[in-house]
Formats: sequence, C-alpha cells, structure tokens
Amino acid sequence: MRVDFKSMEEEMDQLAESMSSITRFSNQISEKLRSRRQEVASLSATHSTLQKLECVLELPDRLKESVQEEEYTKAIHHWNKANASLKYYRDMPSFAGIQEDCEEIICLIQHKLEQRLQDPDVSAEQLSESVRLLQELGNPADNLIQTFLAHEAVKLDKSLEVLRAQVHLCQDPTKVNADSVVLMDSLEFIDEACNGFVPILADTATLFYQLFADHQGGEVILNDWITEHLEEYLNIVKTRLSLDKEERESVILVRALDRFYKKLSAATRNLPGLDTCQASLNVVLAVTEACVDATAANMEAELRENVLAARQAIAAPRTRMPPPAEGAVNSGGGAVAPPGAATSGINLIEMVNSLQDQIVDSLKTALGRLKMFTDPELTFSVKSGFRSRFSRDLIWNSIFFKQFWFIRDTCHKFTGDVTVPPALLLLLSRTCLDLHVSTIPFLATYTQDEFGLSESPNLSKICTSMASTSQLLLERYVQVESGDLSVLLGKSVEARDWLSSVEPRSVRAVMKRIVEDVNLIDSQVGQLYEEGNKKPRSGESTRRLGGASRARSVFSNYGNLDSSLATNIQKLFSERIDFFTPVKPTKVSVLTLIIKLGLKTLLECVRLKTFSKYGLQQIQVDCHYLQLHLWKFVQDEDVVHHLLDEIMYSAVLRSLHQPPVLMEASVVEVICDKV
Amino acid sequence: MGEETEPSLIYGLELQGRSLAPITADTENISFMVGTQSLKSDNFVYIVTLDEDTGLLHKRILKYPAGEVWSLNPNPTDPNLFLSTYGEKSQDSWKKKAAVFRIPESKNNSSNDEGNLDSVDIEVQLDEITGKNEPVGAWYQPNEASKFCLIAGNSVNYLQLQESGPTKIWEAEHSVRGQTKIETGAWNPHRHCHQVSSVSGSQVMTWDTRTGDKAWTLNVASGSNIRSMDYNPNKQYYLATGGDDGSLIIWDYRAPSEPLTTVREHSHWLWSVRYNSFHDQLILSAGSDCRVQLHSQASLSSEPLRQSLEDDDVQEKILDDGIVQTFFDHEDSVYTAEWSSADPWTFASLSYDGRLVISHVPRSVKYRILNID
Repeated sequence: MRVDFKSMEEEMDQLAESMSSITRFSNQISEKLRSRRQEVASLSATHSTLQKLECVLELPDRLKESVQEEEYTKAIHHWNKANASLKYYRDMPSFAGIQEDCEEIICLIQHKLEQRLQDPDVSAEQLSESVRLLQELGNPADNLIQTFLAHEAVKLDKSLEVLRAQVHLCQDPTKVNADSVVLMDSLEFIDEACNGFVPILADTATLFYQLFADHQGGEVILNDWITEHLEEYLNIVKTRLSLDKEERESVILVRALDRFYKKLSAATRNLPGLDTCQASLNVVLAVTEACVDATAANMEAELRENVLAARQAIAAPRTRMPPPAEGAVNSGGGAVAPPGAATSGINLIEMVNSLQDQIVDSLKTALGRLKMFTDPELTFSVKSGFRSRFSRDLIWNSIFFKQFWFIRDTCHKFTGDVTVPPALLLLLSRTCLDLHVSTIPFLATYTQDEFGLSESPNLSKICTSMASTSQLLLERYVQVESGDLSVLLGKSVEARDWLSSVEPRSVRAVMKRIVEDVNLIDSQVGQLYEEGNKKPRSGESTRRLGGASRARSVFSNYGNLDSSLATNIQKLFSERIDFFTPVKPTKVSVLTLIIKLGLKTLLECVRLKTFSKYGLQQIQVDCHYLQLHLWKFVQDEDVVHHLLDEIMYSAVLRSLHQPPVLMEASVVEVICDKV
Repeated sequence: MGEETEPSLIYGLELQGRSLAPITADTENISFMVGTQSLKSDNFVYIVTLDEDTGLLHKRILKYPAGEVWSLNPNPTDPNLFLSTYGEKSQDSWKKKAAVFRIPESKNNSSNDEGNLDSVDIEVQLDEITGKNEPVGAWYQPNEASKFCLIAGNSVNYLQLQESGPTKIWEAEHSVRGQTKIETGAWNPHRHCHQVSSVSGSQVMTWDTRTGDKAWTLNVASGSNIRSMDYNPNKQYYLATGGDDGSLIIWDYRAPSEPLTTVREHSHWLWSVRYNSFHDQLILSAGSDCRVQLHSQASLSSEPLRQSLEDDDVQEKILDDGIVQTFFDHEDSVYTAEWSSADPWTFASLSYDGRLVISHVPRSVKYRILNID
C-alpha cells in the first residue's frame, strides 16, 4: 500500500509541474495577443458609435415615418433611446439640429396623443397606449389622470343622458320628443342602466389601475371620481324607479330593483375601496320608500273617497225624506213613529261594516303589494340593512301607523265641521270605536304574521287616540242632534204669542216632530250602539200606566203652594240633573243626553215667555205628550219626568193668572191619546 | 299660604230673579243690585253690599211696584239712578216696558220690614221710545251718564236724557232672519264709547253712536245664537261672546271671520260673559247648566306676561289659559254673573231660583296676577 501511495504521490507532482508549464505558455500567448485585441475593441466601439450616429441621423425620418403610420409607440421608443445622447451632444451643431427636428416631431406626437384623448370614439387600447406614451413623454401623471378621467366621463355622461331622457319621458309621457325615444318599463330601464353605465365604469377603473398603478394617491382621485358619477347615476335610477307608482308595476319594479342591486354589486365588487353595496342598497331603500309612500297615499285617497261616499249616502236619503206630515206620524193611539230605519232609509250598520272592510282590505292589499319586497329570492331583501328598515320604518311607521293616524285625523276633523250630517258623526264614532277595540290589534297581528316580524308594535297611543276621537265624535253627535231639537223647540216657543192662545185641542205639531226625530235618532244610534243599562222601572211597566203615575207630579196644583216653597221641596226630593255627565257609547246614554239637553232648552224658552190660561194649558198638554213618548228612551225616566215637571213649574210661574188654572188631567190624556 | 279658596257667600231671595248688576257709581263698596221676577207676588230690588272686614252682607230691600224686573243697569255716576226693563201686568195683559228709576234716600237703615220698605220710583218713562216693540234692555253710555242705548224689538235707540225728557239721537234697525228680536247689547268702552253693539241670533252688529251707521258686523260660523257679549276693557278690538252651544268665544273684531279662541265648557246655554274690568285675563261665564266658571285667557289679554320674580330679565306667563275654577253653588240656571266694580277679586251670580252667590277669585290666582307669589 505504502509503495502504491508513494508512486501516486510522484505522479501527482509530475502533473502539477506540467500544469504550471501550461499556465506559463498561455500567459506568454495572451501577452502577445493583447495589442491586437485592443485594436479590435476600438474598432468595434467605433462601429457601434457610427451605428448610433446613423440611428440618430435617421431619427427624424423614422419618427416621421412612425407618425405617418401612427405607430407612436415605436416613435416614442426610438426617441427615448436617442434622447439621452442627443442631450449629451447638444453642443454640436449637427446634433442640435437633429434634436430640434425630433422635438418638433415629438411635440406633434404629443399633440396627436392628446387629441386622441379628447376623442370620445377612441378605442380602449389606443387610449391606454396614448396615456402610457404621454406618461413616457414625461407628462405629469396628475394632469394625465384628469384628462383620462375627463375622457371617460364623456362616455359615462352619454350613457347617463340616455337614462335621463327616460326619466324625463316617464315624468311627462306626453312629451314624446322628436328623437322618438320609446319609454322603457322599469326592467328595460335597469337593463339599459346596467349594461351602459356599469361596464364603462368598471372598464375605466381597470384601465386606471393598469395605467396609474404606481401613482401615489391615484386611487383616491379615482374613487372620488367614481363616487361622483355613481351618485349621479344612482340618483337617476332612484328617480326613475320611484316614478313607478302604479300597483300593477310593482312586480316589475321589484324585479328591476333586484336586477339592479345584483348587477351593480357584482360589477363593482372588484373595485377596491369602493362600497357600492351600501349605495345601491340605499337606492333600493329609497325606491321602496317611494313605493311605500305611494301606497300609503293611495290608501289615504281610498279612505277619503269611502268616507265621502258614506257622507253622500247619508245625505242623499235625508233630502229625499218627505217632510213630517201631521197625522202621518202614527196611526194607532199613542203608537210611536214607524221604526226609524224605514224612515231614514239608511242602513248605518251596513255602512260601518263596509267602511271597516274597506279599511281592512285597503291595508291588506297594501301589505300584499309590499310583501313582494321581502321575497327571499331577492338579493337585497335578505340584507339586514334592508330588512330592519323595511319592517320598522316602512311597514310600521309609513304604512300601518300612518294609515291609522290618517283615519283618526280624518275623523277628528269632522268634530269641528258644522255642516257634517249627524249620522256620519255617529258612523265614524262607531268606526273609531271598532278600530280601537278590535281592528287595530287584529291588523297589527296580521301585519306581524305576514312579514314575520318578531317585535310587536306599541299600539296604546293610536288606540287611545282612536278611543278619544270616537268619544269626541259621539259627543259632537249629541251636540248636533240636541242642537237641532233645541232649535225646533226654541223656535216653537219663541215665535208664538202665548198670551192670546186658544184653548188647546191637540198636541202641537212640533211636539210630534220632536218625538219623531227622537225615534229617528233612537233607530240610528240603536243600529250602531248597544242598548245600555236602564234604571229598572218601578211598578208595572206598561207605558200607559207609567205615564199616568208619572203624571201626578205634573198635575199637582202648584198654584196652592207657595212658589218658592214648592221649588225647594221639589229640589229636596228630586236629584239634581247633571248636564255634565259624559256620554257613554250606549244607545240609552246618547238618547238620555240628547233628550235632557232638548228639554232643558224648552225650559229656558218657557221661562222667557208669559202665558195666558190657555197658553199654560197648551204647555201642559205638550209636556204630557212628551212624557208619554220620551220616557222609554232614557236611562232613568225620572230625569225626563223631573225636567218636564220643571218646565211645567216654570210655565206656572210665568202664568199671568195666579193662581193658575190647569186643565183636567183626564182631558189632557184624551187629547194626547187622540193623536 | 292660606286656604286656596275663600268660601262663597250665599243669599236667598224670596222670589225668582234674573237681573243683577254692579252699582258702578259706588266705587267704595262691593255692592250689587238684584231684582226679582215674579208674576204672582210683589217684586223687589235688593241692594246688597259686602262688608269686606266682617264678611257680612248688608241688604237694602226696596219695593219695585212697577212689575217684574227683567234687567237692571245702574247709572255710572249717580248711584241712585238705574235703567230697568220690567214686565207690567194687568188683569188680562202683560207688557214689557223700560224706564229710568230713582232710589230714594234711605230713611231708615235698620228696617227691612215689608210694611216699612221704601220703593223705587219711575223717574223717566220710556214707553214713547219703545212704542210697540218689546224692550230688551237699556245700557248707560259708560262715560256719559246722560246718554244711553235702549234696545226694543229689532230697533236700537241712542238717547239723551234732558230736562224735558228723553230725546232720540238716532234709531237703527238690526233684524236677522229667523229672529224675532235683538237678544242683548253692549257698549264698546274704547275710543270714548262711540260704538255700541247689538246682538241678534248669531250676529253682532256694531253702530257708530256719532252717526247711527253700522260700524262692523261679526257672525258666529256655527250659527249658534249669542246670548251675551262683553268687550275687553283693556285691550282694544277684543271681545267675548257666549251662546247657545255653551261656548265662550274670543274675537278680534278687525278679523271677524275666525275667532281667536273657542272654549266649550258649559253643557247648556251660556247666558252671561263678563271681562274683569281690572285684569282682563279673567273672564266670568255663567249658564243654564247651573255653573259659574272663571276662565283665564291670559294669552289674549292686554297683559299676557309678567316680570319673573326670580330673574329680572325674564318675562313669564301670568296664567295658563283655561278654567281657573268652576263654581257649583247654584242649583238652577244662572242668568247673570257680574264682577264687582269696586273690587277686582269679587263677583256675584244669580240663579233663577233666587240664589245670589258672592264669590272670590282664588288667592293663588290673585297673587299671581299681582305678581307677589
């Protein structure tokens, strides 16, 4: 082994020696070649300089050529290459000349490029080329961005103009202009809007990022620009879609909205830093709101019409009603006038029901229409921003509550209207009561179910308000009806000369009219309000008996009593009549109040007159007649008796003959029965 | 603070009554004149004076032999004279008349015995003026006691009393369709009293006393009859009316198409409405619903604000508008309620059953208006 290693070592040494000799030789050769190489190098350098020189000399021609062929890229490329050396050798006259020529041409090119940027019809490639080249030519990027965006804006404006024309046309369909623009429906409009404007915007943005990717702050400028135009665009879309008010257009409108929302969201999704989702959702909301408002306005108009129709229906038969003829009132002895429904010819309960049905239907229809907006297939409907606003603000506030407040306001207005027929007051009073008691809570639940809303609204305010309006209307009804009775009674006493009356042979016609009117009121109120509680009658309750027993106080001879003593005794035993009792929503309560107020007026009028013997007896007959017919309407018949007693008592006080001479009770009864 | 309301003083006349008036010439005492209205018995005029120290009511009863008293209007300067309308009854007839009456000097203060009573005598009979028309009322011109307005039927008469008798200065007619006669009248206290109003149905018509021409008219839109009216004594152009629908309405007669406010608190006819002549925030109303109501209409008064006690620079509302108090002392229709002419915080009301009630403005309201609470 050792022998082997030794021999190997020797071989290696030999190899090293040979290698160093090779190196030595090669150095000698390269030493000899050096001078030649330098020559070659200088030759080739000269050649390239010459080539460059040639290139420079040819530059103006080349540039011209490129310009003619519109190959600006090439031209700029050449120019950029040559420019540096040209600048370097600027001092040499020939170069300076070339540079001048070239600069002229480049100016021309720049001009041409700028022109291109102004030209709206230029293709996207040409445009981007131009911008890039201009950038290369050292134009400041800020200026370029402005020019670029301005160029794009022209295109956008063009597409917006088309949309604007549609809006104008939709606002005023009569103005069909010469360009024969056809009115598109919402869906077509949205197609147009999405296919025109949105791609342009997206392209612009893409191009912008390509061109100005490394420009500081470019994105901000772009976003501002986009926002500005998008706003305009969204406004136009909003305006156009908000014009769709017709109910039958709802389906299309909803689809249009959906398409719009989807396309805009999709198209601008890849624009960083720009949230069009919110903006487009805002448009959707605004359009929905307009639609909701239009629906609400429709409902209001409907209600107004319905109330007007009810008013006319009430007023119509009234004017046709035959004037109350004497004797025709009743046939059987002491029988009351025929049931008021026949006389008045108005079926109030039917009208109340139909008005209620109309209110319910109108709301249900409106909700049905709006339900389309919550179809889960719609992209926007599932967005929480839409959902919460739609249900809370639009469904509850703009439809539900708005409608009922409108009803309430409409009804409330009638309380101050002096020309309104009383039956309408009654009808609306009942309607408000029903709304308060059942319809509003029912419809609230319905709405909640229909839209799957979890939070139940606070109904107390509207319900309370409805209830108080109902009460006010009923009070107003009492006021009007008692006012009418009062005028009738007042005039009948005022216009008569009671000092020269003849012996009474019959009840005065006006008293029959009063009873007739009370019957009518009774039937009207009876249709709408329940009976209510009456104080139980004492003793047997046949009318005749009651009348007779009651008659005692009227016929007691006041003349024998000291008048002030009589008053005081009477006051002691009779309850004080309170005219302030608030009216309750029952028939008896309403009638009691009307009769009380009417009789009080009779009392006041009697006190202003002076009566002869026969005048007094006429009052006696009239009072007895009223007593026979009015007791059954009131809560507490004692009230009627007491008031009639007071009228009688006052007439006695105002009697010229003291002590007064009254008619025999039996004669009075005969006269009253005779009617 | 003491009790909120001073108790009312109640005095019962023996007969029915509907006329009550403050004795305006007596500025020292809280005194009123009340007349009875009876066709059956002899009638009387009561002069009641409230002794503010003792709280007692002094009465002077005078016979009124002419008939039943329908209205009273004391002379503004002479406490012994008054205008009155009355019903004169004979065997088979009854006629309403008007006259100037004189109250005799009191011979015997202590006696109110019927046999010893003085009686008021007719000083000037006004039959010739009224003619066939039924007198409605007569009112002295507040600033000139020799002149007065007499309304009878549909005619408005402006008269002057002279030695020789009453002279008619002018006569005008105010007739409204459906109305048999004028309801009432009132003097406008502003501008030297050269306007006087008559009320018929739902219309107020005002006359210029210098010429007898119409000055202006005002109509209640609802057509409800007006029973009573009164001018705001401190604020020109403002007046109040009350009527059959129970509502108290405040007007500015320069804009008569719309009332300034309507307050409906009475449930039957409003028979009497009176401004407090010192503090026109306060209005008194009475009606056939047996209620007397004290209203505040500070916002429409001549002095809606007062200096705040806490802060010198702040003005605050004197009173809220609305009912100050409702008085339930009556059990029959109240036809008249009048402020005392001597004390701004006292008023009287008379119901048909002869109950005369003297009441006071609640202390708290009084102090608020006087700005001392």
